[in-house]
Amino acid sequence: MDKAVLGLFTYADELLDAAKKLEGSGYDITIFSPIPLGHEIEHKLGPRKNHIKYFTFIGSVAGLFFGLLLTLGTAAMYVIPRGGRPIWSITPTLLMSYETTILIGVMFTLMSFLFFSKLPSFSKKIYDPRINVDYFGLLIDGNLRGRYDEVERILRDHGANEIKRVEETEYNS
Amino acid sequence: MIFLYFGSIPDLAAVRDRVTGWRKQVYSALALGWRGTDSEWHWLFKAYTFFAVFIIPLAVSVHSIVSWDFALSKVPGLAKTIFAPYFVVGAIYSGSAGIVTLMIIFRKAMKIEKYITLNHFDKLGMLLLVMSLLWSYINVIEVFTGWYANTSAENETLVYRMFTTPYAYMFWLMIVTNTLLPLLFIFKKCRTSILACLVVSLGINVGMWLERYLILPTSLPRKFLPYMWHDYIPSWVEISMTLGSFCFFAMLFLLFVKLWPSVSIYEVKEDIGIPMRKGGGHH
Repeated sequence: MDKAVLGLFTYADELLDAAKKLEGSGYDITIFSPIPLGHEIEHKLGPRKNHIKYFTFIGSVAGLFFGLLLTLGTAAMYVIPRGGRPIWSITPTLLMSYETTILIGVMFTLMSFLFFSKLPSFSKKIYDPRINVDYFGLLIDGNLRGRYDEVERILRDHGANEIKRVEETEYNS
Repeated sequence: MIFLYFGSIPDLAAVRDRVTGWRKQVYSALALGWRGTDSEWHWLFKAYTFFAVFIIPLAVSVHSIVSWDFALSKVPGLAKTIFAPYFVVGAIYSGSAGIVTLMIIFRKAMKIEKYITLNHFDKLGMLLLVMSLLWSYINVIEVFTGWYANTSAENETLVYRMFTTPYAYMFWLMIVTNTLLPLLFIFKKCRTSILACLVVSLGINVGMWLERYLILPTSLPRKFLPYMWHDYIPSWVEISMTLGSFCFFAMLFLLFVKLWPSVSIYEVKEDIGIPMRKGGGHH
C-alpha cells in the first residue's frame, strides 16, 4: 500500500504556503492544527462551503411544522369545547412550535455536523499526537509513487520541522 | 449539554492524547476520533455558531416559562407581566455572578491565574454592572406596578414584603447586594480587584437567592382572604433539601472540573495568537 507523507510545522503561515503550493500542483492534502485556522485557510486556499446552514434551516422549518401539527392536531383530535374560546388557541401553539423549532433545528445541525465532519470515526487513521499540542500538520495522500521526493522537497523548502512517510495503520492516538 | 460537549471535543482529544489506561478509552470515545483536520474544524465551527444562536432563545424561553408558572396565577405579588424578563435578567445576573465567584476560587485552587486574567474579571464586571442596572430597573417596575394598582391585596403584599420582619431585612439586604454593591463596578479599580469581585459576586449570589426566596413566602401567605393568612416557616425537610442542593451542586461542579477540560485549551491557544514566522500572531 502507498504511504502518505506527513509534514509537521511550527508556523501556520509556512504550513499554509506549503498547502497552497501542493494543492496547486494537484495533490490531495489535509491540514491538521491544534487551533482553528478557518479564516487563514479560506484566505489562502479559497472559501469553503457551508452546507450545514441548509440543514439547520430545513430542521427548523420541520420543527415549526411539527410543533404546529402536535398542538393543532391534538386540539383537533380531542376537542374540548369551552364557551367562547377557540379550539385552536394561539399562545400554546406558539410556545410548542417555538420549542420544537429549536429542538429539531439543533438535531438537524448536530446530525449534519457529524455527517460532514465524518465523526465519530474510530478506524485507524494517520495522526500525530503532537498536532493537538503545538504543531501543525500537512498530510499529502493519494497516489504518490515516484513523487515522494518532490513532495518532501516542497515541505522542506517551506520550513517543515519533520517529514515522515506514514501508513494508515500508524494511527497512534 | 450539546453546546458544552461539542465545544469540548478538540480539548477532549487533547486529553485523550495525554492519558493512559481506562482514561484513554473513555476520552477516546468522548473525542469521537477527532484529529484536528481543517474539515473537522470547519464543520465544528459552522455547527457551533448555530448552537450558539439556538441557545439564546432557548435560555429566554426556559426562564420565561418558569416565570409564567408564577405570573399566570392570580396571586397578588406574583401576577406581574414583567415577570418573564425579570426572570431572564435575574438568571443571567445570578449566573454571571456565580461564574465570577467560582472563577476566583477555581483559578486560585488550580493555579491558573495565567489563563484566567484580570482582563476577564474586568469584562465580567461590566456585564454584572449592566445586569445589575437592568435587574434594579425591573425590580422598581415590579414594586411600582403593585403600588400604582393600589388594590388592598397588592398593598398588603408589598407592605408584608418590604416593611414586615423578617422579610423586610431580606428585601433591603437584597437591594443593597443587588443594586447598590454592584455600583462599585463603575470603577475599573474595583472590576480588576479580586477582593472586590469576590465580595460583590458573593453579595449578588446571596441577593439573587433572597429574590427567588421572597417570591413565594411573601405572596402565597397574603392572598385575597385574610382568614387564610399565615406566616411561612420552613420545615427541617425544606432546610435540609436546600442545603443538600447546594452540596449537590458543589459536588457536580468539582466532578466537572476534575473530569472535563473546564478551561477551553484551544481557545487559550487561539488567544495567544496563531504562530506566524512572518509578522506576528493573528487574533
